[in-house]
Amino acid sequence: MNARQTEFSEDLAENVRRIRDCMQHTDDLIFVDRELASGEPIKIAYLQGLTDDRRLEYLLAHAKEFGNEDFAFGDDGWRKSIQQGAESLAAGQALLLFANPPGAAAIDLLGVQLRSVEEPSSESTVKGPRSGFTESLTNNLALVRYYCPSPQLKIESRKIGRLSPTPLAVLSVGGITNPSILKEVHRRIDEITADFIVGSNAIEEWIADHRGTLFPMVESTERPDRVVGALMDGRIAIIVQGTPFVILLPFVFLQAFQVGEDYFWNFYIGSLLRMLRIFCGLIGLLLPGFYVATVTYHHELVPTALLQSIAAAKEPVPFPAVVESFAMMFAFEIMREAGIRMPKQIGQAVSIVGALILGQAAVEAGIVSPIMVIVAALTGICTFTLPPNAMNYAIRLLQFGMTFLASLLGYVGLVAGIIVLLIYLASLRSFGVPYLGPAAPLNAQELTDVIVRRPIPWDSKRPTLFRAINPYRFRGGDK
Amino acid sequence: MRAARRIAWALAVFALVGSGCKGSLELNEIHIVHSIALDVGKNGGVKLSAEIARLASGQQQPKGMLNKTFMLTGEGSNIFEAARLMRVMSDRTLLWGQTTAIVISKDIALQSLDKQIESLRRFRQFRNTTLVYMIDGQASRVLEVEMPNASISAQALRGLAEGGETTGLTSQTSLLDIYMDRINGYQEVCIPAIRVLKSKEGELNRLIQATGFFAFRGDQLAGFMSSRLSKGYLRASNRMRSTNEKLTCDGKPGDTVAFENTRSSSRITASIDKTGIPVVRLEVDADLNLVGQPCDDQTVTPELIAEWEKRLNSEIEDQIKSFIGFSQQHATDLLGIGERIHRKQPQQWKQIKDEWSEIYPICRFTVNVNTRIDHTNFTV
Repeated sequence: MNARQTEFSEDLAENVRRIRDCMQHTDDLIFVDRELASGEPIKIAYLQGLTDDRRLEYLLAHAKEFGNEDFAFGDDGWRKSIQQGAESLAAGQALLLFANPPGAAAIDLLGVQLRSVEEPSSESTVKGPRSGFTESLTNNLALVRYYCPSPQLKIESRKIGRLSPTPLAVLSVGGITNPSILKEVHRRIDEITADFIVGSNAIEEWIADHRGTLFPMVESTERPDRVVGALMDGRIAIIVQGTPFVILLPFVFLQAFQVGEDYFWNFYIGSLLRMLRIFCGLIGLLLPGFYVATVTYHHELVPTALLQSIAAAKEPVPFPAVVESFAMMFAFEIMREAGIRMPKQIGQAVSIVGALILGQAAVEAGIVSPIMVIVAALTGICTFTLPPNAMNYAIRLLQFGMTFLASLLGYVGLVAGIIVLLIYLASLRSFGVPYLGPAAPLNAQELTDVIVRRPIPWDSKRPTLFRAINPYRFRGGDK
Repeated sequence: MRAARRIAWALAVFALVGSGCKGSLELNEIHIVHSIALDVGKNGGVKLSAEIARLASGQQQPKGMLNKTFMLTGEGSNIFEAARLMRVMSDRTLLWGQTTAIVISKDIALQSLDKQIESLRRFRQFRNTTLVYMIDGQASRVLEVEMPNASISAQALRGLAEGGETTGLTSQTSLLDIYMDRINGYQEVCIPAIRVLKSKEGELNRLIQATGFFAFRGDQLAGFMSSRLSKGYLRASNRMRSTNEKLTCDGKPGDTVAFENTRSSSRITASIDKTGIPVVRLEVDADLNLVGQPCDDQTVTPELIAEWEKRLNSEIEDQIKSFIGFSQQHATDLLGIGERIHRKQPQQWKQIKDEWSEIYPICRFTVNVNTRIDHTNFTV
């Protein structure tokens, strides 16, 4: 916020000039002269296009019918300084400039065209609610309220950004969320000194415990049901204006393999899917390295018939397995990125050209072996099973490192890589919560719950990791 | 400090890259050895032959185990030297670790089995599960067989071992089994025997056949056990899973009643009696099913089944006694009777262990067979 504040004067023309100065003489700033019922002249200021036309027209048309008492705003709606008024205008409010008393009333007329509630594209679901967050903070808060109509749900609004204050809301549940973690979140948000914030990722990077890490320190979701589930576990949500991605914290490593849909299926299916995701995560991380280590160092470990087939397929390929592997993984990443960035119709074509034509041609040209295509494809598909969060990208990036280590030292390199990775993960903290929890430090009961989705009636305890005040969900809750 | 840290990191990465990759071998830099044969070489050395898969390349689909093979041969004073000399003739490094089977010729086994097994173990390339076979004649002939049913001899040799579970004529004997038997000395070594069958024209080697076992006394070859003796051996040592038996029809020498032996188990108890002679009791249980047609004038009745069981008891007892006779005649303790006595009566064993090779042939064996015919697959 700008420290220098200039108060409104009794001269409306002077106030208009100052506001124009403050807003860099922007052309979309409109001032309209009106009189109140008492004959007192006022000026109505707004930013063209940022306000709701219908409500603005009503205000302009009926201004004369209002008396001063109709604008008897409390402190929330009354702007005393030019800078406050300018900020309100920038936030989509209309300003009614008064000469006596000098000041301006801010009326919320924000009317930007925003998309409606849709199914989140990044977290699609087969079974479960289909509504996703939008870019509107108020809509998102309403969605959370809709899914969690609890009087204990607490929303604390803030604005971050010196030049461009972006509203955000910190959500917690009274009686469940640990106040010390909540306090720490507020402290870290207060320490943000950025001049502007774009999206929730900027907040994430500012408040994370470890800023230089590859791994996500907070969770990001588009689904209100997931936010409510996290809040009920004693976690905290941060919703930022202008992004549909809501931050959930604290966040631990194994949560990356959970999706909200697990709880909408029978617990056997939910558990199997969860274990499948963990397995796929391991495949995504280790399979290329394992393949390279096996075919370059540990030939004896492969069944003879399989080795014979692999060797026959590899026979015409002139490159070492590690080069082949890097080339395929790199090509896969290119195709994946191209598929995402391209318009949808072209994206499909890229996938087909890349996967079928290029893959087949590369095999026939003897540049890569068919088994390497299978390994790269399987690895890529396995990473698709993970929820599309930063963990997904971290695993994709680390598979290159694992493959490199495997090419240097075989299984020894692979195991060394895994050990170093585990040590590093064990050293991380998310708002004081061990990142590898509940695996390290070990809490067998909660670890089971992370790997297996227990039947909901058996799941009476909240995770102790997030240090919720009330450790019970039901049966003797409110302890 | 920061610069020193960077230098340390750079050195660590350099050391890793510099020291790594040394043991790596790309698949198109190696030849996969599928089976090897050991024969007597010139000047009393070892002739080592290796069956190597010829990999299909180019645009063809990989053929896996259907590829043709070629053979490389090397001679040296021991297996290691022969293998090294073989590399001189090869365009690629030989991968011995995938060797499925080792075929040892009788001639080289007659010299000393221990020497060859020790060399193979010290070579440290072969899997513990590598199958071992013996042949009377040139072992390398086995690797040259052009079979209609398999293109790689190693596959045929593996198939033979697996087939032993249903035929009761051979069994899976691995390099580790032999090594353990020789090191522990619990029982004498027994190695499956094979032979090469020629085509009808008598020119080409066309098939490999399991023929029984070669029995050893220490590291010396003791003798060859034919199929009947092999059956008796496998039954007595509780290594038989399944086989077939037959009984002749009375008065009709050509006609037989066939049975499938679906389960066989044996228990051996050995002790030394008051006279100091080891007494061995062998109990065999076998379940059988009638699989062939009964003799012409027979109707399957409980009485007939009881009679068959009685005759089968006698038949199996004869098989086992034949094997025992063979083992006593050659003084080769293939069932580990000495070790059983050692474990049960260690004090008495101390007194007889030095003369065990003389005592074993006079051990008193009692064989008790209990067969049960479960299903006659009765049809009206």
